[in-house]
Amino acid sequence: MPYRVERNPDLCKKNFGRPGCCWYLCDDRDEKICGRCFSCFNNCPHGVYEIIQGDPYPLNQEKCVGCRICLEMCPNRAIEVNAIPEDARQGWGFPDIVEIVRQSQTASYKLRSTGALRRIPDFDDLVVIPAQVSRPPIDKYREPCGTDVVLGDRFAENPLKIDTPIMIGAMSFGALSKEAKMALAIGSSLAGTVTNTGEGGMLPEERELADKLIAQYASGRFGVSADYLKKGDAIEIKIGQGAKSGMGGHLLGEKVTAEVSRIRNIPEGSDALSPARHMDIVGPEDLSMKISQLREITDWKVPIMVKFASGKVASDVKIAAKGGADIIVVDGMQGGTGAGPEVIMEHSGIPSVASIVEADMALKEIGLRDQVSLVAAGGVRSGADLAKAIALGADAVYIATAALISIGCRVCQMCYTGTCRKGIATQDLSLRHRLDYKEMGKNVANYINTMTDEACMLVQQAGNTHITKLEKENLRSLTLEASALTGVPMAGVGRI
Amino acid sequence: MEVFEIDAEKLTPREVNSQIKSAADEYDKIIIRNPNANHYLAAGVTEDVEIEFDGSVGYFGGCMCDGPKITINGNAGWFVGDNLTGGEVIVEGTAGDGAGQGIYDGTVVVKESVGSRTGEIMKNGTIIIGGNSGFMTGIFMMGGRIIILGDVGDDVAESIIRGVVYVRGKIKSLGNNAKIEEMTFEDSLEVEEILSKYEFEVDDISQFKKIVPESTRPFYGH
Repeated sequence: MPYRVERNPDLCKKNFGRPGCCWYLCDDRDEKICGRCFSCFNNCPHGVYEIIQGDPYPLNQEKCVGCRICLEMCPNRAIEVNAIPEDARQGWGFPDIVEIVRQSQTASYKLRSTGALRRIPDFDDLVVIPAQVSRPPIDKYREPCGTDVVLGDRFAENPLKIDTPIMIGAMSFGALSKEAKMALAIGSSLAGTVTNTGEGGMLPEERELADKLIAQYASGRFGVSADYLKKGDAIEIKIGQGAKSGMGGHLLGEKVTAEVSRIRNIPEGSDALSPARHMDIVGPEDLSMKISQLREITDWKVPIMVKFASGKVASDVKIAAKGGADIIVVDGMQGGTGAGPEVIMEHSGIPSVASIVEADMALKEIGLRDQVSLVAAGGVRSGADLAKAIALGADAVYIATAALISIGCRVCQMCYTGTCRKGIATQDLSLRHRLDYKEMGKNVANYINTMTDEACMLVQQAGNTHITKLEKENLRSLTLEASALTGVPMAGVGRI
Repeated sequence: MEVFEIDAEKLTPREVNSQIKSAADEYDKIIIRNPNANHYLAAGVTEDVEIEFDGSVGYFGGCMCDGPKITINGNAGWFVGDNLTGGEVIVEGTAGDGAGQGIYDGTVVVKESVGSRTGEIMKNGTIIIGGNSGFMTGIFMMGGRIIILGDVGDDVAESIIRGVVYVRGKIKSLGNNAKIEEMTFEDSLEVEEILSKYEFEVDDISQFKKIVPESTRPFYGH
């Protein structure tokens, strides 16, 4: 959707004695020129602003993605960003035309961050039905709601025991700054849950701050060693991720600083390219062997997880379950990434709501539903999403983009450039200083705790006493599409 | 030297590995009799200990180790020495595909021939193959060195970004982003030194060809 960006020149020039302006980066701390604030120009990730005769103007409006970082960082509240309706040319909307022009001029496909942004059937298409007389509701203010879950107790000696079924998904050090990783680690510990290394090795600080930490094992094997795996509270074999299904990860050399290179065990400044598939996992038997190999390395102590991009969900889930996985993660097409081609994000994959149901049914079909834990990922934003994911069949969820938003991300979709204005997806020290990881760690915990509380409200009004007790029969669909994708009956007469 | 012996005849890989890891701290050397080509043997050993398999091992033999010197008096299956971060894995016989896959450091030596994709995604360390190596040797290599005394199959060093492959015998074809470069005097000394350490006899080092990346950034950020 296009955006209109307006800068009010009168407000822009009021009160230049403001403190803190430089904190938001004029990139020049000289107080003599403090009166000339270029925060919007400096902080817009998309080059919307240009300086004309000493003042910033939002000239390149077609580049705006609506992140509103300029607005948030303007010390004088002089900026407005408003979405404007699509024009009436149907498929030939303004963004389509801008993209065709861009491709014709640059001869390159569009690379960006985040995941699918177009309208896809999701959790908002479903509602939780309330209990009344046929089943009485539980009192939110006076009666407890259980939220603790145990994941991966099939073979592992030490399964994951967490206080809430909200886990923080894989995002690597390298893609994220050290401060962002530390904030997520602190937040996960305060909320009694678990975070994930991502595929970029394990920061010592992250290990120290996170009570529970999943060590990811991806196709590039960056930073992987026996020591790395043994320090994890679970091992996650990443077969794929929802945002860029069927593609490996890639971290451009510009973000491989000295510290990233040390943690990943690769040379500084070199591109870190993960193959699209694990070189030693190209079939069902291989996955089974990989699970066994990792068990032997970690002495059967920790759960072995397998994470898939949602595609042929039933087949993949059955292969992993039969191959010995303790926990399976299905990452829907709304899942995020730091860098990937837009065409893959928007046109490949299965919506999260559909993949959860398909995975749950697949596990039931092979009689392993009680033994294998199922984690849903991709586009989870709220307690309502959590409750609905569990009702659809998940045992827990991953949040990732949402967790980043809680520490300052505004979904500008430019993580891959390494110039994140919030100090999250960058290795630039001056930008990283903007992120107060201790405060942001509290934000993460607040957000997870509130999500959990929200989900409990829905659980209790539906007449249940534990967050895991919600079932598909507690849901109704508001749209035909979601009903057809999930098998959840339509609200009202209950027929598809 | 304190030696501990394990008879693996009736043991599962889990039981063998458990015994190896228990004994690794106390003993200088561990000998495993009757390994029976079981998989994952000596997986994840991080102690500085000598481990000797009196027979062949299956897939992922000596994988993810850091420190031990492992000798296999027989053959090895696929992915021997996978993800080694230190120490040595020496196979006296042949090995399957993916020997030395993804190693970061240390040395994997196979005295006879191996299958395909030797040293794929390796980041550093050394792999020596006494015989031939199959197709796509060194695929996605990100560092380190592979030395092959025999012939090598198609598409050597496919999509290599860093590292070097030395081949004494015939090269069937090069992979994308791979090129042959002149051996320098220093290269010859390096190869000679590492081969003599593992008791390979080579009369004429000048027979070796050196394969390196054409570009260090073949895909992005040109």
